[in-house]
Amino acid sequence: MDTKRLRFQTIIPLQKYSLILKSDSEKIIEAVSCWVDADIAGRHSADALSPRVPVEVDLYSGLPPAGVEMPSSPAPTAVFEDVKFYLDSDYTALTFDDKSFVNVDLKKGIARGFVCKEHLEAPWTISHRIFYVPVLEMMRAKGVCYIHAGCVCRGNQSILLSGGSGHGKSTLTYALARSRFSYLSDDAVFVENGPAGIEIFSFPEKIKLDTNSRSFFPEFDEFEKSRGKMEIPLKSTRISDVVVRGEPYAVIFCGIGHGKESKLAGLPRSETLLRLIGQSVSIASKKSIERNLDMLMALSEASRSYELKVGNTFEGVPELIESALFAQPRTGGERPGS
Amino acid sequence: MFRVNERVVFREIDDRIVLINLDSGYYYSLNEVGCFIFNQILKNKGIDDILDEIEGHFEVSQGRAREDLEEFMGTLEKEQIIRAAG
Repeated sequence: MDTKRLRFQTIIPLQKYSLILKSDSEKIIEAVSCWVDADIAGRHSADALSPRVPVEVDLYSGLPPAGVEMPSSPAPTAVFEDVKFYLDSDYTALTFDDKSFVNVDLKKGIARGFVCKEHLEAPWTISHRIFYVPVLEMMRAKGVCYIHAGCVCRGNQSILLSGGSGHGKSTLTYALARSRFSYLSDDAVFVENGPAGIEIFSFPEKIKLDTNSRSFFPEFDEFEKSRGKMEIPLKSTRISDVVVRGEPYAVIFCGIGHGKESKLAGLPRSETLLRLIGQSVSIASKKSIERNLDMLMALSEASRSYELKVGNTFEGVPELIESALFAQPRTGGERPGS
Repeated sequence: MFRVNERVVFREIDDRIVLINLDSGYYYSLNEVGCFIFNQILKNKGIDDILDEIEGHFEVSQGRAREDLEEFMGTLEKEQIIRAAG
C-alpha cells in the first residue's frame, strides 16, 4: 500500500490540524490533493507533521483490510442526495451511491473506507463526498466548525464574507484584500472556540476567481478569458498582506443588487445564525450538529452583521465597508450583545 | 399535549428560535409568537393552556388565536418538529 501524508496547507499556524491521508491509489491522492489545495507529493515528510495529528483518512480502492466493511444496518439514519448516513454519537458510516463507503470513528478521528472503480474515475466525488464529508465530520467532533465563506481581516479583526455560490463572495473578498484589508480565505474558513475565545483560521495560499470576477480588476486583463475559474497564486495578485487567523468582528452576507450603488444594511443576529447554518451545517449526528450550532451562535453573538447588495461595480465597496465597520464603530449593523 | 421530536435541534437567539430537523436536513426560524408557543410546548402545555397563555400575552381574540394556533401546530406536526404525546 502506498502511503501519503499531507496537511491542509504549509502555512497552517496550528499544526494540530494536520491531516493524514493514506491510500493505495494515486487517483485518490490526486483528487484529494486538488481539493485541499496542497501539493502532497514529497512536500511533507512524516517528520514535518505534528505529533498531535488528529485526523486520518484511509481510502482503499483495492481490497480494504479486515473490519472496513459496507454498513450492514438496514436503514440509513439520513439521506442527502447520493449519500446515506448511518449516524451515532461517536461513530458514523457513510455510503456513496451504495457503492463506496467510509466508516468514521469520531472519537479516534480516523476514517477508513473503500472507493469503487466507478468513483475512482470521478475526482469530484472522491474529494467532495468520500473525503470531504468524513473530514469535516471528524473536525466538527474535535470542536472545529467549517463555514463556506471568504474572509479578510483588519489587524486581528476578521470580516467573514458569506453567501451562496454565485453571490460574489470571492470577488468581494478580492476587492477588499487588494485594497484595505488582509487576506485570509476566499472560500472556506474553520472556526474554533478555544481557551482564548473564538478563532477563525484558514489557508490563504491562492485565490480562485472566475472570468467574470477577474473582469472587475485590471491586473487580470492579461489572463486568458476562456479559462473560467482559475486558482491564482497570491504573487500574481495585488494582495499584499496575508494572515492565517483572526478573531470574529463582522459577518457580511453578499449578494448582487439591482441598483447602481452598493448598499450595506444591518442584520439581526437571528438572521445571521440562520444564514450561517446554510453555509456550515450538514447532516451529521445530533451531538455534532448541536456543537456546530453552538459555535455558530457564539460567532453570531460576537459579530456585527450586515447584508451587502453590490451595485454594478465593486468600486467604492472597500471604502463603504471600512466606513461602516471601522470609521463609525457604534452606528452600523447589529452590535455584539445588542 | 405535544412533544418536540428528539431528532430536532434548536437554539434560542434574541427573540427567535432556530430549529434543525436532523432527519430532513431542513432548518427553520420561529418569530416572536412562534417562539412563545414553542416554549409553551416545551413546558408540556396542551392546546387550551397555550391558548390561555397567548391571550394573556398578546392582544388577540380567542377565535383568531385558536385558529392561528391550530394552523401553526399543524405546520409543526407536518414538518415533524413536534409529535402528539401519547
